[in-house]
Amino acid sequence: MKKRLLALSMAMIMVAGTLTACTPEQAPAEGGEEATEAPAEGGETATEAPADGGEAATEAPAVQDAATMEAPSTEGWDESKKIYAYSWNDEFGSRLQMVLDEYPEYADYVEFINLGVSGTDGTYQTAIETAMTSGDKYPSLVPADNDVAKNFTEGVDFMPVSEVGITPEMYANAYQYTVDYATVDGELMAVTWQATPGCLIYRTDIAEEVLGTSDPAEVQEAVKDWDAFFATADKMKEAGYKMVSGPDEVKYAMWDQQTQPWVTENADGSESLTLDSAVTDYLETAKKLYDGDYTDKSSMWSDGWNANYEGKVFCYFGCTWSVYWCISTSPDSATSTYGKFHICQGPVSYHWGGTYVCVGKDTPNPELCGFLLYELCCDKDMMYKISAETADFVNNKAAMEQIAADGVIADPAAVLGGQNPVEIWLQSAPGIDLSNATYMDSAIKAIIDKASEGYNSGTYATADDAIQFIKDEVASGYTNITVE
Amino acid sequence: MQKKRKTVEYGKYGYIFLVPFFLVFLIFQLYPLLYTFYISFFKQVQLGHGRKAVTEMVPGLGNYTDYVFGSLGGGEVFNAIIVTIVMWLLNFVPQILLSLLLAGWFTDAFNKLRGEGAYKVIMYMPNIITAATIAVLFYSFFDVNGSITGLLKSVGILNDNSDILKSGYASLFIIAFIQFWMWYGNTMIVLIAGIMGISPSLYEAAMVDGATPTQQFWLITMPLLKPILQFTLVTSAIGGLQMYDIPQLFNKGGPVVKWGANSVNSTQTIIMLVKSYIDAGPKQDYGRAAAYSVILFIITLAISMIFFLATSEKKSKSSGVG
Repeated sequence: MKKRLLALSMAMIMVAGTLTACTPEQAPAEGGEEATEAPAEGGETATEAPADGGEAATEAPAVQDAATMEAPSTEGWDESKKIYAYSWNDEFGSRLQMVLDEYPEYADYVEFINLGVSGTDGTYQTAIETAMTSGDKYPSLVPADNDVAKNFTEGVDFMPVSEVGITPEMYANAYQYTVDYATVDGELMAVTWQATPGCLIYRTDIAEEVLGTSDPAEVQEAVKDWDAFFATADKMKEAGYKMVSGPDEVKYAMWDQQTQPWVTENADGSESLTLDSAVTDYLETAKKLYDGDYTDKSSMWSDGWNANYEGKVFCYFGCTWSVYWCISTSPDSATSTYGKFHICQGPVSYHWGGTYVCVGKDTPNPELCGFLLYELCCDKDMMYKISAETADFVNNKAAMEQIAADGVIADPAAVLGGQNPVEIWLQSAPGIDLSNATYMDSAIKAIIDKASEGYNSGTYATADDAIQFIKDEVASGYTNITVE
Repeated sequence: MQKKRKTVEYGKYGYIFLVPFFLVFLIFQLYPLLYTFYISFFKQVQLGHGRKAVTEMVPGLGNYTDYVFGSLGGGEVFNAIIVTIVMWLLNFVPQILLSLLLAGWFTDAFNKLRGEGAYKVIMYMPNIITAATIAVLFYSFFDVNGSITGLLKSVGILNDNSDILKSGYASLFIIAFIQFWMWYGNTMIVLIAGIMGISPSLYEAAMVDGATPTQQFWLITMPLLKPILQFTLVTSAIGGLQMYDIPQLFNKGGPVVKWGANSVNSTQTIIMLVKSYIDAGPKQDYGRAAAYSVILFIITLAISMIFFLATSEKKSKSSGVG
């Protein structure tokens, strides 16, 4: 009898054991795939946004008294009012934390979840969509990497920011391109706290040795267009230095020169692939850099690329967040190049990336979402503080002009050896134009990367073969797009 | 007087113990499998994207005629399968040969190796390290400034300008090598266990009859190892065809090579291809991914059948002993 009972109870325990897995799953914290290790490995083909840098769009001047938003009271809030903010790395979380430090009464109602993947990875969007369908830890604040932002803003999961209380008057100090980029069918779907004009980050010691000067204005003369850039590259080669770390370094600068969207919508609702000369120009320039031995042949974000910040490479193409996220050297490393970097405009005006924060449409606490986004992206004082502490170039003309006027150089910008980068960025930010961006840009850029690799290594004999490869890949992978 | 012995029937509890397994299998394996077959028969036709997307699921064989066997899919399924099979063969053939050799040495009754246990542990170790770590490690070894690249350049095998990871064939070979290195210890342990199951009296009898070690190996060990070999072959084939973690983390589908007029992703296995159609984004197409999965299933089934038949024991029709 005892044995029978024992056997029966063991069987029951086993059955019960299988059902324990039926608890609601947490949102997958993907540590595995492309786990961000050092901050220098921020993301693979990280953030990008195509734009026509040439036009000086008429940018509205800074508004000194933008509309404000009242802080919502926490009266009557309970567990159900808690919101979850997701991201693919910890940048958004740390910015949000700065807002919560100012308003600690909301700290219990916000939880940040870092998924630890690359921003342009499909895994991120899959994880967000899964969390939204399951309803557990519903993503209320969802930042989207610039390249894939249109997948989010043009999708069905998010609501216009006007529905959480953000008005155009509050967002009046934002750079126009950030407003245009995130506006879909007349509604603003996402806001961003950072503007990201691109620049050229160069080594002052190498500049002094080869060009004789490290003054930004004079180095700018030496790289003011692509011809001058390659002339300087020749000088660097003679002196035993590499101009850039890898042939793919110039991609964001060149892709930004596109003159038409790469996917156009036709009258009947179908879409066609319409690549332009920016793609061919990039393929040819990368090939020239590769063949001419001006590079160390590293891939962006690889170990070799990181190591070259302390190596024999003259310059990197970067942007505002490169300063605190990419330049991987520190004062105490053995071959430190800390303080030996300056920035200048570079051969073309462009920009690189950004993060657009969307609001989930079924969020349990729209007031808190609205207020946090207001503080992060609209409030001049909060954004001034963020820029002063982190060297981020915030999306607030009034705040950045104040930073420039006050001569504030944030600690992370000390790697620039005393130069204040804000002035350079203030000049180029108004010229950014994202009107040619489409939702397919991230996917097409990944394919262009592969094509460029193939063209450089000789798999494709001509640039036309490489372009044909791009067209074939788009045609076979994305059947809603017609390719002629 | 005979006392009736009470027999306790434990048999039915055995079935109850099996219930958890069947529940899990039914819900998490059988149902998704059947559902995958089901959705592979619906082709996704989409006009526009995002909010303006008009999606229609057309029932029929569209996924198969257009993507698998047709030109719309660019033949990518079969390219990926060929890449996967080549990767598996490059990994498995050396692996089984080396494991057989080592297993033969370790179970040799007359060859007392010292520190045998230590050797076995060391050879098994690579299997314990996470695949993710190993892939990243090897990537940094072969990077332009990596250690192994530097070594090969200094010895002169590579010229100064070459970049191994940009060569599709080299990447494929490196991934096959990683797999081989990770799994040969495991295979060796399994084969040792198999050989230990063979009665030593057979070997003694053979020695008495004057058989050389090679003859002993081929005529005694190999035939009696057939069941174990069958197990190893089939599990390795199934695992190899489903390889995902190492190629993904190593080179993400790798550089493109040209086979004739086709551009092929040199290290993209079939599972990576399927996953690219599952992730959220403009490429998401469950019907297509399901069709590719079904093709993988059919090929896995075919290969396993071949191996089963090749290594099956022919049951001798014993017509009685005289």
